[in-house]
Amino acid sequence: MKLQMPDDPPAAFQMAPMIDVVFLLIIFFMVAADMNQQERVPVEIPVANHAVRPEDPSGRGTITVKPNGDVFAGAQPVTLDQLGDLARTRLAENPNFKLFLRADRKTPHEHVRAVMRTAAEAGVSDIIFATYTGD
Amino acid sequence: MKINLQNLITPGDGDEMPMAALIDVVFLLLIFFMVTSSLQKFETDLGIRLPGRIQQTEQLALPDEQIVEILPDGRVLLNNQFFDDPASRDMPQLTATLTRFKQASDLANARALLTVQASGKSDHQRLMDVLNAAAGADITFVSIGLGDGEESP
Repeated sequence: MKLQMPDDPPAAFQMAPMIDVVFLLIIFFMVAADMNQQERVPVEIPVANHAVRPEDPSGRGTITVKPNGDVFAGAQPVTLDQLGDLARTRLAENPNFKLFLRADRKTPHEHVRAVMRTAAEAGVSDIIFATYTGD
Repeated sequence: MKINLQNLITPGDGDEMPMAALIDVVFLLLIFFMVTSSLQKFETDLGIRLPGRIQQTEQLALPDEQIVEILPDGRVLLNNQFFDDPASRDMPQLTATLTRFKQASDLANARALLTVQASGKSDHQRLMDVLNAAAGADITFVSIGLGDGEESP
């Protein structure tokens, strides 16, 4: 006996789920890009090929030094006195507090030295310089 | 005038949303955000321990300490000898010298200590070049002089 198989309807390409997924991907990358920009004052970080990527970046306070000597704690401009107070407060909360120093590659060393001296006077002994591993 | 209500309720073929153009725009946005997010460089670490509040005039009694000076023009001085071109980022001569210093210290069971004394007028990048050379020589005990000191010529 000859069986008559019904013809399958042609598979239609489902556009709506694809657009849903693509929009989700767009939102993900938009948010990820925005999170990377948060609390980062734009500076040209120096290059050091032997630097390493941090395994545990917790417990750090980010300080940015611009070429003209302006100092920022996170995204907020601070004076050296305020920076010292901030370091002491953070150190009291966390004895393993580290200073993550993002200084522009063109910054004269005297400005960086002033920040390091303030940190030392506040009791911070761990300083980590932000670098890129290639141009 | 006779109005066909059915035509107002049910859109015809010509009134459909152009999906191809929408998808083109959406894919362009997706590619843009993917590329820009991957182009952002990761910041890496180059750490030091601060020397505390030791005055620069005090001499540390450490036999295996070397002091590297960075002059305002970017030249690097070690044991009264200049190393590498001021424009050199990799500093191969200084790295080789520091590597030998580290090996000699290891053989003597001593701690290789490097102190960097940079001029206030030198660029931050130059300090990073010297620290990078120390890291390349596997020297982990590096400190930076915080005293104002005399500016070298």
